[in-house]
Amino acid sequence: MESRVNVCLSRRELLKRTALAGFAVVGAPVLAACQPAAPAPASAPTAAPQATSPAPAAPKPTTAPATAKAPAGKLVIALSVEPDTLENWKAYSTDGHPVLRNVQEALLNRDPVTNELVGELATSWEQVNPTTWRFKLRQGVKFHNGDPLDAEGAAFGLNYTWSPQNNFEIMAYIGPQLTAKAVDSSTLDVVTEQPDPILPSRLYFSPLPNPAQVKNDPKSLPVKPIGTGPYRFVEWAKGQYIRLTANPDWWGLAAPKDAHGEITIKDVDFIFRAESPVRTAMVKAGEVQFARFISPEEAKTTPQGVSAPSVETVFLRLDTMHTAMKDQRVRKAIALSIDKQGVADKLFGGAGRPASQLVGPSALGYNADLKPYPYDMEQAKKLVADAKAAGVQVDAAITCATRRGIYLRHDEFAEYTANQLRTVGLNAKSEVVDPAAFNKQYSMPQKDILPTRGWITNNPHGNEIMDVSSTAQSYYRCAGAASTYCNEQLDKALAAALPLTGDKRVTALRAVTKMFYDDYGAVPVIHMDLNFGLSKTFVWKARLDGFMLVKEMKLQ
Amino acid sequence: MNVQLTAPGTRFAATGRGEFVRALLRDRVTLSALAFVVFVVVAAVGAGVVSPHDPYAQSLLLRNEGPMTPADQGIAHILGTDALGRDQLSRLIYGSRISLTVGLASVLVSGVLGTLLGLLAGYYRGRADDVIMRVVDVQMGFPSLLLALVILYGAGSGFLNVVLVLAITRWTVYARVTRSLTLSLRETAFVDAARAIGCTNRRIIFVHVLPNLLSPLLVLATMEVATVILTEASLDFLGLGIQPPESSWGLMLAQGRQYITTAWWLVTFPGLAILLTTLSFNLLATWVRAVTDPVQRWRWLGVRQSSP
Repeated sequence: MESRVNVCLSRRELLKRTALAGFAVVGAPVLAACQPAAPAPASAPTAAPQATSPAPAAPKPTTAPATAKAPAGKLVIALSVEPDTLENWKAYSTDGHPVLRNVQEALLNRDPVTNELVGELATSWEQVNPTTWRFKLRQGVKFHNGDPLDAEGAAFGLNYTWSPQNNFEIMAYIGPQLTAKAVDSSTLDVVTEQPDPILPSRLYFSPLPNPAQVKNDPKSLPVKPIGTGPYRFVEWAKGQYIRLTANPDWWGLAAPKDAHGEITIKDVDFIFRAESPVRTAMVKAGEVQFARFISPEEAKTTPQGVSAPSVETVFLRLDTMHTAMKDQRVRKAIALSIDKQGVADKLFGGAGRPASQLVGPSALGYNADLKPYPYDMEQAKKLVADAKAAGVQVDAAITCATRRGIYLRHDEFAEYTANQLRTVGLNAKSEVVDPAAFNKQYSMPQKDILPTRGWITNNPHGNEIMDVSSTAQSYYRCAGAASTYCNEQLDKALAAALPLTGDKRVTALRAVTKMFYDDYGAVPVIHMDLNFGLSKTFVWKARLDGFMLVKEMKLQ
Repeated sequence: MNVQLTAPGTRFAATGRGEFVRALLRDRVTLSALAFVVFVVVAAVGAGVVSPHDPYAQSLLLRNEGPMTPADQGIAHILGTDALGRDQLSRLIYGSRISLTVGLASVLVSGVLGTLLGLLAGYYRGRADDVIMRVVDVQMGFPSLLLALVILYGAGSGFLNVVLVLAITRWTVYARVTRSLTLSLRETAFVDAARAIGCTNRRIIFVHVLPNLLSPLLVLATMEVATVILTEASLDFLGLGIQPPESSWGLMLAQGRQYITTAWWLVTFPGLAILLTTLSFNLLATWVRAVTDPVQRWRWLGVRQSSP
């Protein structure tokens, strides 16, 4: 008895102490965090002191256009995902480029209207021999820390970004490797192992880092980007906002013709809201002036909804090694069972057009002769029946898999696909897979995929390079990083097409596209439009590549 | 503690079944709660007969149509259609199957498990008590939804797993209540008497102790049904419970969430279904508690408190 009482007492004592400690640990930081967090980024207006005013930037510029052209006002942009790093190579990705492309610049950019390549940090460029491109650098460009940009630094930056040792993600998306070297202080040579006629398109995705920062302070690279761009990085409060401010020393101020834009807005905040209804509501309430990636229906409810074509194409990637899907009739049946027009008009709210191939008309090598696969359920049913009669196991399990959150309504589209396939006589179910597990399956080398997996993934594919070769190398050939299709003839034709230029290249790539189309290697569904919600006073034209350059934006 | 410390069997002697029914009829709130529960149960059991449409039949043309939209064939879509053009009412009805089965099944499993362990701990004390109650303490210190998520993440989602997970996370409540009541019951005169005439421990537990626990446990279980339905909806909402194309209320909420500004009916009706069902179970639990409480029940039953 004695001992039991002791045990009880000590336990009670223990509980008491734990509770106290728990309150101390949990309570203190919560209380502390509440105070600075309250007047958070969204509502913090232009000048810091008056931090409680609810309506932030919108009215500011209209009331103060005062001195001639001095940038004024504050722009708040709502994105869906916070980038995990602000290293320069991240600029290839949708979550990286909104911030990075305003801070850092690449040798080339695209004209916002004509979509042609134009000089940014380079003023001219030429191919001096099949494997070498020569770039002339712009004079008088300064990094935000005052360092001048010269050919030596630019070469260092490119070699760092594209180094096989570093092996940054950009390599996987727009590889292969390249090497840069300075010829003189303002001339730069970029060399590839194989002839690469589309090298400039790849370099336009690769902004230059500050060489001194890379050498001396590599730890600051992910959190404090230094570039040459029109906006300087100010601060990144993780989980809250990323803040930029106008760069008074930007080279573009002295060369307005080459700048392809001007600085009219002084401060820029990027904030992150995962839910599209939240982003929409923030535009409506005037808390932000720009919300990206909302649904077409939501865009219509904002003061200024913009729906703009993009380079993204939604398609079904078929496991062509699957017991049933290795049969061309089954693949054709799948292609016929999707109502592309209906999906575009209804499921995606009109924000898209039926697609006949994995790239849009903007890509070099786009084959305009191909029509989207028709929608014909009766024929699809017949094809499945034929395949069954011919001994194909059409009841082999198929999974319409999709990565959680990959794009708007991906889950509904997967459910729709599975339902259509069941209707034509295939054994399909849909599944939303978490990103890590999905990526592991998705990027599995083709030879490791079992014939029992039977995945049909619905993905958006963006051909930002605007050349069919990058799509074909990833998705059409046997060794492609994301390919589930293998056809040796196509591989040969593609390999022969890669070094070609001009009309020959176009013809060869169109032929490759047709080979893939005729064999039902995948099912292109729609070319997707992207939807943005803007405030009333906001002036901006969406770009095909999806870049959000503040120098192209204005607040009236 | 309003535990009646008399021998079992005498408790309901003073009141007949008719008085319960009459009390129920007088109490409109409880009556409507009961009616709603019955309504949901009937819908769930007869889903195949009562639902106006095939809950899986999609139609792109009828996407996100509002309530009372005419259907291609048959009755109009009374509660509208969802993002894939499926009939919302039919999906709600089929969803009630999931919610109710999960709710009742996991309450049954966790109730039996928790009560047995609580009885062991409370009756035998000693080591069994220490071990069981420490496990309860540890588990109660753990957020139950988080625990459920972790287990489901490892074991995979699906109907059976959801039931088991909910049972595993909720048994501690029963164990605690049972133990505390057993602790006081085992010291009562009638248990002493039973022991004195040579009853085995098992007989004492099941014949003399357990029947005295039934009324508080019944109240607890009724409230737990509501909690479990809510938790199940949360799990579905988070994507780890029932998987599409099956329908459940939580899943319907999750799927309708992105249209909350443009198609209100997608979240309103599943939300209402969850709200009304859990509310009804809670109201029923309150009523059961009141009428089985010897001190309070005379108010409810409208009879004079019978002297024991």
